[in-house]
Amino acid sequence: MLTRPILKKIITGGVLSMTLLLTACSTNDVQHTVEQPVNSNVSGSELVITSSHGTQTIEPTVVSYPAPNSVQDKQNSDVTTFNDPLEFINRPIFAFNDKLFEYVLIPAAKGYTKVVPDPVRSSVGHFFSNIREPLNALNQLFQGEVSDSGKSVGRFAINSTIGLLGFFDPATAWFEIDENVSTINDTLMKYDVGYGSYLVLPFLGQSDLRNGFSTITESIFSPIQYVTENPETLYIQAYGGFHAFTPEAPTYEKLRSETDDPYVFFRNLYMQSMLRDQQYPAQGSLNDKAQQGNPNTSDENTQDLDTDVPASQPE
Amino acid sequence: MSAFLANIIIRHAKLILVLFTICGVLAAWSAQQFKIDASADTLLIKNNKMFVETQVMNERFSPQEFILVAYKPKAHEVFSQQSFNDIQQISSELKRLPRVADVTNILNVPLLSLSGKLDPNLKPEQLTWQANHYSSEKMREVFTDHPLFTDLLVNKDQTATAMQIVFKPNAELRDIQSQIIAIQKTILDGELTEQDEQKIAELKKQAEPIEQKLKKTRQQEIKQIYQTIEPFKDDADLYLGGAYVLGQQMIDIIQSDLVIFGSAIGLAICLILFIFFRKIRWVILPLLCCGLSVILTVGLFGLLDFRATVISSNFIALQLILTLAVVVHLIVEFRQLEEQNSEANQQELLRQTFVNKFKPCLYAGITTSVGFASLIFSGIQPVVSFGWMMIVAMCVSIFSSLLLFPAVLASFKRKGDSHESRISQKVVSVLSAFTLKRPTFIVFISVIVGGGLIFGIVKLNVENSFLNYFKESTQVRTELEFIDREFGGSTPLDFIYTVPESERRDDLVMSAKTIQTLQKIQHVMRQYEATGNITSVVNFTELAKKINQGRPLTEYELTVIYTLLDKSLTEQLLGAYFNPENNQLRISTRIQDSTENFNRAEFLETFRSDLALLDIDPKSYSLTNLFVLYQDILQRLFSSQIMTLGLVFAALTLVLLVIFRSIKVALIAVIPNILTTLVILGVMGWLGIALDLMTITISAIAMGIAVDDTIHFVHRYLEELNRENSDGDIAIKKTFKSVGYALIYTTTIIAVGFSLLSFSDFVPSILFGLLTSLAMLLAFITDTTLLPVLLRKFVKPKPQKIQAQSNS
Repeated sequence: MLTRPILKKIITGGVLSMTLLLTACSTNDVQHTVEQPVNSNVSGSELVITSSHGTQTIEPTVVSYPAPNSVQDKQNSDVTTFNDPLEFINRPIFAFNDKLFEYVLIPAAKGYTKVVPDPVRSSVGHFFSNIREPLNALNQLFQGEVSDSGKSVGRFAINSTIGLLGFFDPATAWFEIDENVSTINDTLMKYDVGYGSYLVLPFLGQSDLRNGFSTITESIFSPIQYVTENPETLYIQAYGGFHAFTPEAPTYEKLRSETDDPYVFFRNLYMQSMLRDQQYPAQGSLNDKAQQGNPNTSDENTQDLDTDVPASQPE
Repeated sequence: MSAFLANIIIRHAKLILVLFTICGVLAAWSAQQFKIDASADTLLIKNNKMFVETQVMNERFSPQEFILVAYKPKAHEVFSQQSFNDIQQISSELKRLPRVADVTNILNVPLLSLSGKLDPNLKPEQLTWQANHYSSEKMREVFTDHPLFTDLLVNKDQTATAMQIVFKPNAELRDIQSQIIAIQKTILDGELTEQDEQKIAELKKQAEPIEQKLKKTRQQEIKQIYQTIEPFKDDADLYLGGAYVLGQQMIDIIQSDLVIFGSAIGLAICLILFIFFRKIRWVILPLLCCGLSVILTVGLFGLLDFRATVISSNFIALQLILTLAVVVHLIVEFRQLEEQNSEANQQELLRQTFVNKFKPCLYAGITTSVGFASLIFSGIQPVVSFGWMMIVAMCVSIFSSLLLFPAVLASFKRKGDSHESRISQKVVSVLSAFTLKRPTFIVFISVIVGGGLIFGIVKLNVENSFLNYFKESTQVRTELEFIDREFGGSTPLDFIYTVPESERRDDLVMSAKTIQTLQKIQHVMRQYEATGNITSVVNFTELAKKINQGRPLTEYELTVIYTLLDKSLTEQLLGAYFNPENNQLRISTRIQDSTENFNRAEFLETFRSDLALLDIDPKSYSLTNLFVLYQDILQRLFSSQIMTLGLVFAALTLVLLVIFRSIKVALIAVIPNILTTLVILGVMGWLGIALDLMTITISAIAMGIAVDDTIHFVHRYLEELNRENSDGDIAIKKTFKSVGYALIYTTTIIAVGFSLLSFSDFVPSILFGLLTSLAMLLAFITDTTLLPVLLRKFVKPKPQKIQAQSNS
């Protein structure tokens, strides 16, 4: 009796996810020819400078990937652009999310941050991070990063036991094993699956077909599914998503207030970052070390700009 | 006419002396009002657009006034506890100076690259060494190739670190200045009205006392900084640098030069005068005339509010030269009359001297004045005022020497005969014999040598390196050069980019295209040999890229960070480089003055053509700040010098024509002057001495000196020629025997006196001294060889002429 709803959910979720993935793959085929040169050919990502010193190339510090319907750079054919074929459905969802954020989530988030003390919120953060460690490990395994996968398993083992069900993070603090989040999205990227197209998910915010598939699938296979039952599972996952959103709430509010067309702004922000990550993979662990040495940068204070809006957070 | 004047002067000698004493005292009092203004704006044409633009940009981006203190440890590492302790101690002591806003150093600067992630809730003060006491190793790592701090706080080799003493701006002064700028701004696209000009003058008057006070404060501050760093000099070399220190050092060295070399030259002149004339009165009298002339002139300038600038600061030296020449001519004439008329009493001798010398002295004064008057048409404010100043100075000199000489001597009794020394007699006779015997040779040599030397003018160029003003062996030079080379240069140059309409986006703070454009420009700039530290928003995006694990930001991420960061923080970090209201960006750099064989004009040209290669619309950018300003002034001065030179020659010929009433004589007389002036410039060209702000007036000076000798010689020659039973040969001989001595004396006195300046530590002084001496010598040589040859060949006595002369 208990298994039936779970099974049912898995099946519906699976179908939905597969559709998303297939769409992602199919859209990717269309765009493939456009993107390919940029992805493989490094010279496309460099600035060419001709001067009295001869012709040289440098890597830009700021990049742009314009939407094709924008006026800028239309004539410039070697620039990676993106399409927004789902705009007709994305805009209403965005508008719905926007109102939801404005009237419900942001006030709630503000109250939450005010009422719940910092150490508690930090522990909650650790708990949700810990819960997805098995997913990290699996994804890393699929990506062939065996040692990373081992680390994630190790972290899960340490934090679930010594870390009191993951509410604390002794793995980082005592054993110096850093968290390394890895999602299905990363795995798919590794196997050259394209992003499909821009997608706004209700409640979850901006995403793309590939990432949307990743988010939904991960929520289905989240370890929480196996330890709790359905209304609770949903509540816990919703709480997790909300918790992850709270530090971003003021950010969203501020950015929202500064733009005329927030849909375009947040879409471009998301898509440009995504395309940038695709073109310029993160380099080395030099900065991880730097971060370690800095006692003032706690996990709670640091926000990755790519996740301004909780798109990739599992619910 | 001149006899009448002479009688009056001699009769009222006492009265004249009393009047002069009174005037002298009054002038000395008014001389206190006289100001030397070495600031950049005195060098500009009124309402120079480039200057106004620089002012506007400086206001917009408000870069702060600062002084650099470099700390170079002798035995320990830059990144070590000892250095950290020293830096902290020095900084905290410097911070106690009232005007110091902050002392930026490696210990208190926020190390954003340590923040790990791009965090909009950035708290920079938590990312400093002071907050965290990072290890020396970590500090070294952070400062290695840091986009912002390399070349600014730590040199590339990591052998030294700099502390940047940032000063608070004077609120009152800034207020007045921004009012002035607000009015001047209209010049950028229109004309100023009379009212505007008045308002500006009024505001400038208000600003002046504040500026004076500030100048004094700065002077003291620099002294205090030197005192503060003194105790740390056992373990480390400490150097001071930056535009203000450079300026201060320059003023210091000029002032000490004035005292040391002023007195040395004075003494040398006294000594030579005594050697030549062997009587105390012939030493005192010229000194009295020179001293009084200078005091009266300076007093007059104080009264008229004429200000000496860098260009006109030589006027005292010039006036001394010209006054001395007049007095020496008078002395020589007097002594010769004394020798010839053993019975005549003092008064008669004086009268005769005055009668003989009144005209040539007056003529010399007029011609010199006319020469300088042509500067008035140059259209460049400081050159124009230099012209006016020299005219006033010349008038005062002629007036006071012609009055004082007889007035003073009238009170003395005639005292024994005097005759010229044997050596000078020998020189004069050799010269006159040579001139008479070898006319063709002289002309030939003049053409060959003169022509060859003049050709050097083609090689003449303008360079102004303030660093090179100091002799290489001096401590000041070592210090300034170290900072110049290791900490990002000296003379500021700004590139102001107005974002084109097509690149502006409503939802972005800056588009990627704009940043990439700046990045390209900056990349090109970095490769020039002469550019020092270069900073703009690009450095911040480089830092952001470093923090972002080597990945570039997207334009939207940049906008997000900019929007989310605290307004005061963005202002503090980016205010000097980005002005959102006007859509303008600034790339700031300092040019390394110590760059060898640096051609500034060529550099600007290359830079502009590179910008064109990068497809930057010339309308969308402007180059501003001191580097361009000085370059602009120099170029203008240079072309105006060359342009006015022709004008001077023409004016001179005209005046000579009026004086001598003969086209032939006028043309002949002008030749030695042209030759002297051009040869001086040619020699500078051959020797690779660039014209700079200090030496640019040398052609005017050479001209002033040469014309004096010419007038005296020609005048006497014509007089001798038109006597009865005279011909060219006799006239030449006689002229040599009279004026010749005066020429030798003045040349020796001034050449020896001014060559003393070659011992100075200040290169422009050395050059000025040597070039003036050379001009003196050249003038002497041409006026005693070429001039007599030409005169003898072309100017024959004419009966009608004699008639005309005696009638007048």
